[in-house]
Amino acid sequence: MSATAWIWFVMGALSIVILLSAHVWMQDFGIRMNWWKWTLMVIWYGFLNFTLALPMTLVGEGESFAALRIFFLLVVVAVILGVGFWRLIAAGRKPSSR
Amino acid sequence: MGARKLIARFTLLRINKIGFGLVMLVFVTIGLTVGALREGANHTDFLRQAFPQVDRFKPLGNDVYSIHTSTSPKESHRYTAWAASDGYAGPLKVALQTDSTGRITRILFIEQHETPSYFQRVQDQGLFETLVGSNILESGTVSKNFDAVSGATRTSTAFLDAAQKAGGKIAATVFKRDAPQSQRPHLYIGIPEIIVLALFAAAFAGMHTPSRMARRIRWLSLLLGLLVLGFAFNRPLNLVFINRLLMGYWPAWQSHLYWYLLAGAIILVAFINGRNPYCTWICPFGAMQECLGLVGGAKFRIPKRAHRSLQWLQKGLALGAVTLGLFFRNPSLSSYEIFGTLFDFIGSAFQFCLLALVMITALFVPRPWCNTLCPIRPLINLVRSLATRLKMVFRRS
Repeated sequence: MSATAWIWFVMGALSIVILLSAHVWMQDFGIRMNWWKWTLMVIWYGFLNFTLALPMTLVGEGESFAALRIFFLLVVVAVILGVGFWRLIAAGRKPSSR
Repeated sequence: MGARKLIARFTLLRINKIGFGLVMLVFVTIGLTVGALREGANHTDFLRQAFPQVDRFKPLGNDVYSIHTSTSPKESHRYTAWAASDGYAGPLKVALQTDSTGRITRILFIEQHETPSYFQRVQDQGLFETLVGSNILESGTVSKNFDAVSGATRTSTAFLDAAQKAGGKIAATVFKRDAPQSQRPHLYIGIPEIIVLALFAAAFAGMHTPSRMARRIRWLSLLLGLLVLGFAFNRPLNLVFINRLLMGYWPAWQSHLYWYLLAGAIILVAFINGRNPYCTWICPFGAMQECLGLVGGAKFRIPKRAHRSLQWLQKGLALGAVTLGLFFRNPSLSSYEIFGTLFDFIGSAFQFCLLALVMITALFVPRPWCNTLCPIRPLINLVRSLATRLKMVFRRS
């Protein structure tokens, strides 16, 4: 298997671990998850991956300055989306008994 | 609390209220005086720097010079002239060189004060090259190949206007053609002018209505300001315009009606009720921060002592930025605001980093830019304080 394929394999495995762990984290936070909360979470996770992948692609194309600008832009959007989604997901949560 | 502490606090309060205005006045005067003295350079000095291979510039009148080099000391085959136009941040001077047939061989800026990132955009678009090769004697050819640069329209059109004026000077002086009549600026009333008046009217009305209604009007006003004055037209009040006015580079009111309306309305409201409607009700960047505050909650309050220190920092920054601009006779030099970075996506790397920091902070802290770094609020507060004092003087007299 080539190095790129290994990277994709590891990333896929990590994504599954993160999403499975998210379920436990949400229980720890006392948040009851439903379909739209999971959708928001997956959208944000996808966006986070995109935030990392796009600048890396641009660096690979030799466009370092453009990569930096896009990275800053996407990080800010990711943080804003993350905070907004988190407030929606965590609204009305009850502290866990665990 | 000891007596010394009380005196210190009282002194600080007085300095805060009165002293900042006086300090500002002193610094503005020094900056203006030194800046005016520095500006006395001769235009032939600029031309010599621009055309170093030229041995002699023989004045022909009307800012036109014939060029003499060592290969043709007596006879001239080239001419140069300079002309000015009104750019975004003050006068923009362009020098134009033609050959003996009137064809433009070289064109360059000899003086400009534009915001560096916007000026860079004009340069990157290769605007100079589009005019080289045009003939000033054929009407319309200078502007034929010209396209205004998107995002830097005023700078690029001012460049064309100055180039046409310089070409007209050479055509009239050297080739004895009729110089094109300089056009009077057209009165322009568009969406931003109407919206800014409507927003000030709404703000003024909102200040005198019950709080729940006022809150609704304020949000409506802020969102309209954000969409129209921010994202659609990128017209928040900035240091460039304030510095321009202080330096005496007053642009034509017909073409800059929006800015005069904005400044006039702020001063008028300051005189009527001593308040600042712009920052609280209209500012598009403030609106953006409040929207982010809604997303993130913005519940963190800066401790009082730190807030006071940050206010001093804000005043110091405003004072430093204005003085620096005046000292170097360049309105855009010290304009560190990040409004254009957000609304036009143009700015330096530093401005992009600052914008990212401010936007993320605005999720947790209410209006971090307005309360700590914005130079506009201290300047408007100064106008308010001056207006209040003037009113007191009038009442007494």
